[in-house]
Amino acid sequence: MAVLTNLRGLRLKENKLTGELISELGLLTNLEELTLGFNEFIKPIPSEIGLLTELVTLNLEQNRFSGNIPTQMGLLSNLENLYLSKLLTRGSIPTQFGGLMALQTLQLFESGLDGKIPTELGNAMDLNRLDLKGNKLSGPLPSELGLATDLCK
Amino acid sequence: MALAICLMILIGILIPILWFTLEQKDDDTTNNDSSSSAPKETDSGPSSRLDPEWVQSMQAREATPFDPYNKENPDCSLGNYVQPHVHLQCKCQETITIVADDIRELYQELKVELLPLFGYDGPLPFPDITSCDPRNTALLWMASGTATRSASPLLDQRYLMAMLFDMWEGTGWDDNNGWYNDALEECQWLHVQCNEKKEVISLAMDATNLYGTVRSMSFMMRHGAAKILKLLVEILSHGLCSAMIWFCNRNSHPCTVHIDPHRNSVLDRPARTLHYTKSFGKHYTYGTHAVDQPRAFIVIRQSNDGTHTIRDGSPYQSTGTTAQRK
Repeated sequence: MAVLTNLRGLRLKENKLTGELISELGLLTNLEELTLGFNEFIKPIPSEIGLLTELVTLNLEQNRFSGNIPTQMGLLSNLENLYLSKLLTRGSIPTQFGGLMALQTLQLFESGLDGKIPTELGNAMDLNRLDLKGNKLSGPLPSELGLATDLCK
Repeated sequence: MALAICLMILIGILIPILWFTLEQKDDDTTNNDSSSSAPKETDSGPSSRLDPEWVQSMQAREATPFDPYNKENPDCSLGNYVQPHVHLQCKCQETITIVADDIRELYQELKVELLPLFGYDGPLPFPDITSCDPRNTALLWMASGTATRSASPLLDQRYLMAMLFDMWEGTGWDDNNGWYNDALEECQWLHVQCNEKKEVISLAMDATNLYGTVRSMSFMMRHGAAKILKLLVEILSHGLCSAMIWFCNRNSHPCTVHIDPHRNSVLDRPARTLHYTKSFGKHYTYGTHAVDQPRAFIVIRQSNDGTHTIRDGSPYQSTGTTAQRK
């Protein structure tokens, strides 16, 4: 996709695309919106997703991505909307998500996650939609989330 | 403050990647001097990816057009056509056997010019002209009728868009208005949005009945692009210095890392900006610009035997120590 490096939006939601996400997706460094939800992608989400630092919306929900959520996703400091619901992932929510300072919406429901909810999520002062249901998360809801004054639980 | 620094790093890294992606070909041909590590900074992006004169001469030519392809009611008596559409030929006989001579000629020229842009520098792992592989069908289409003539100067982009159509089974989309229409610029195809330079900036194809993978696009990448991306991810995740050592360790060959002790601490913490400076062949040069320090540069060098050398390529005298891994 080398010649589409000017791409700012790639919306391929609700199709029947399959296979793994190629790491070369990290070349599309101007992407502000990447919407791949409701497809049949498999394998882990490539860590190169962390190179797409212009992303405002990242929607990967309802796919068959496995493995852990890449910690590098925490590098997406412009990200406002992150949809990772209904994946076949495992492991915990990366503490690096503390880098998602601009986050407003975080949907992680039914994605096979466990462990604690990282206190670092409190860094996202504008977080107003957080959906973590249907996982095996344990421990208290971090008080730091209280800093996100707009949050409707 | 930390956020601001982070942002600076990230922005610093974006431009270089982009630049690297588009400019490598030029670098390969114009600069073989691997020892010149002094970076040349440039803010100007590439204006054209192909020789404008060649593009013009290409767009002045016209070849036999494909006959229309009626998807609903395909007539597989191919003898009824002057030049049966590639999609029809593939649908009816899963191979392409009928190609007019003038199309064949343009096809060869396009192939030679376009493919280096996608990262091929050796024998082309490219399908045969009879193949129904999207790489082939799209190129045949480009060589037919006025498909090339009506394009913007971005012939590689047009080729890629036609290929996307075939890779994602465009003939079966719910609405494919304009796609593969040689009278229209790709910017006029449904779901496609371009900027004023006619570069595609958005593809909005939600719920369009796309089939296929994005894996199949990887052949369009430049050689080594994946490796460089891995490196960049490491830099972003763990800082420049550890990323360099990680890069070294991934290679079974001996690897030398030179780090200036005076700047070691600078390199150990995330640099404020990271400039990708130059690539010539298999040599990659990265430079860092620390917050309140002079510039420091690191060179990763791959020699013919696959050895990677990473060194501080600072443009001033280095008094560094050497850490060597066997």
